[in-house]
Amino acid sequence: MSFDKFLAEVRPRLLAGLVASYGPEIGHEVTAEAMAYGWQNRERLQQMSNPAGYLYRVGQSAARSHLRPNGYLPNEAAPDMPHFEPGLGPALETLTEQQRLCVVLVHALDWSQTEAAELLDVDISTVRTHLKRGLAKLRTALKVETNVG
Amino acid sequence: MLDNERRDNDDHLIAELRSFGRTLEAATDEAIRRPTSPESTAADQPVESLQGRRPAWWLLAAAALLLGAGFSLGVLWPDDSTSIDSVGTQEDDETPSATSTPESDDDQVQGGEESPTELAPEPLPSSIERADGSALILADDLEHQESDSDAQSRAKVAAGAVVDELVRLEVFPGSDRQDVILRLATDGLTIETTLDPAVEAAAINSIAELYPSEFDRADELGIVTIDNRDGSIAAIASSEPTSHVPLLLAREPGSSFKSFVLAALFEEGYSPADTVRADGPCSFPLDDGEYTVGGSFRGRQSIAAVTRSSNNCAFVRLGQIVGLDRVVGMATAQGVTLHDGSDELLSLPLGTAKVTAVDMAGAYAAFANEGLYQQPWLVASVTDRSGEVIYEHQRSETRAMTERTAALVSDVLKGNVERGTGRRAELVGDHAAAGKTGTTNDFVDAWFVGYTDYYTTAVWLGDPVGNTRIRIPGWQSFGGGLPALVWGGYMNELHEDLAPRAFAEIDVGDGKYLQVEGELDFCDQSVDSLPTQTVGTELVDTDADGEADCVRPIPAD
Repeated sequence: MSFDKFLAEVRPRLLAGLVASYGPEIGHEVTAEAMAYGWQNRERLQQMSNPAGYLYRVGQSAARSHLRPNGYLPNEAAPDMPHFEPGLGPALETLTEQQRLCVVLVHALDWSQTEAAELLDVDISTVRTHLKRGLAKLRTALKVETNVG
Repeated sequence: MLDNERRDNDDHLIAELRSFGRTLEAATDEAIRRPTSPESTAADQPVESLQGRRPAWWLLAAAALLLGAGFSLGVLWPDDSTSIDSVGTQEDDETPSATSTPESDDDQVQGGEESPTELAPEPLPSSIERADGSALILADDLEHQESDSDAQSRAKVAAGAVVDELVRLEVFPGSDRQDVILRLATDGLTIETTLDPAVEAAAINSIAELYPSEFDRADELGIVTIDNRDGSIAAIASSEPTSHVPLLLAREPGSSFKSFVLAALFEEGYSPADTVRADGPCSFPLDDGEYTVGGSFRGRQSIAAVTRSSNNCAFVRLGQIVGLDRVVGMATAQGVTLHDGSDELLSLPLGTAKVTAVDMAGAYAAFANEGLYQQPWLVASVTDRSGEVIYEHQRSETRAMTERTAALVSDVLKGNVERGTGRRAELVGDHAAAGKTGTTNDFVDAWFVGYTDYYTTAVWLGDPVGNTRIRIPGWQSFGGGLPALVWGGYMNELHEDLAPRAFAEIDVGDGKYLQVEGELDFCDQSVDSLPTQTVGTELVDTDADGEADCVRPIPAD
């Protein structure tokens, strides 16, 4: 397919992955940066076997320079809101970036494990491991009952 | 752990993740769920309805989490162009709420035959409307365009106030703020407010024009406007997008509290022409020491004159003359709650007990309203998804003071705007305006509260978090500075197309000298100012009987 078509097609996956990893604000910004990079470096990207994964890494490194000290989500509710019970947002923050990407992309946003593997540039069994460990961490963070008695 | 249990737990967790995904998509403002996802249907278009808007990320996330699976998070603050009902769920076959627009009917699957079960009614977002029926968002109808998310977030000031009101009114008994927000997200309510889009727009404009971001807006500027006809709140605005200051934050009003001293005085039969010692510095005995207030020598001055110059020593004396209990009683009758500060202190007339901006606006509206006090109200009605009215505002007014008292206060406060510390608030044309500046010690808070026959507005400037000195430069940190300027610009715009109205004429009569018990009069009563600075007064024993008879000013060295 033409590169333009590729870029158009990869964008939603890229956005989903970067938002899943870094939240909507940063996810948006670094997606734009990655897309711009992709456009500017299209010759190079066309040579690669996994340009989508490469663009994700571009977004990833851009995100690292954007990241605020308190990370993915605001740690505190706004001053006029009461603190919430530890919910999914803060729980997701306990995951590694890769685990978070897999869990959110696959379970929250319904992308396939293959697509997650492509963005992370790993094989599918690694994705499965990230999913397993990520869900386990969430369960712990959300204090879901895992033992009987 | 048994396999089924883990599976159940996982199902629950996955379901929560699914709804989190929807939240994430909503907050991202774009479709990021997989296009062939089983949850995507034609009717399910959260993205388009949120175009250009970005509700609070943390708020949506929290609401979604607490409400579980299959929940499509509605927009709490939809804009004018799309109906909230285009935010659908995957089982979107419920009839839309009463606020749906025609375009949402096209988008949705209609069906009244399948109604939600009693146990689990379909989550349906609520709408908050202004008085004219428009959805509460300040988007395209503003002159000064800022970015969409900024305009969106400014609506939060008013929307947040609506939530506060719903809590205060106990529309949902036992619900706190968080509960109310969740109900708004799911119960398909229609909240009709009293907000007037034209007034709102003028308030936002005046903040944007006169308190631009170049000022490094470390301090917040908050505005509340009341429609004097019925005491309803026509606008709530702030330079801070998510603020609750106008409604909830209690701050020292400074000299803007002096109007209640005036009302108490006139209600007791005193006159604006009555005179009082206006010299400073002044000291008053306390149980443990002395209370000293600064000032300069002014001899005797009328109540009207000391109001124009906001003379602190004079007002401490006036508070003593009329009695602080009467001052508190009057403020209370005008709906003001005194927070966090002793209401018996000598300093009360100087505004050391804290009040909210909405209380101040409501109180001053009683002056405009010939002495009748109406409690400020923001929510006109709440209707549930079936069309049943579950809350309706009941009009009530109480008489806080006589018509004559209100007219006298207006007469004095009018002079304040014409040539007193509130000069910058003067309105163009023949609109009569009355108001009072307020500046607290160390310039921590600055106020201008004033009214015309049509509207009463309170403007507050300060740092809501700390008690630091206002950081904008120079004269602007006085109540007579930026707050008065904003008040004037804003009220001018509001009154552009309104017929000018004057306050009632009132005959003030002659004044008499009011002496504070325990204070002596001047030895020389003809002097009303001195060419030199003074540092206070000293007692003089004119008839050498061992007792002081009068006081004279002590010049500075």
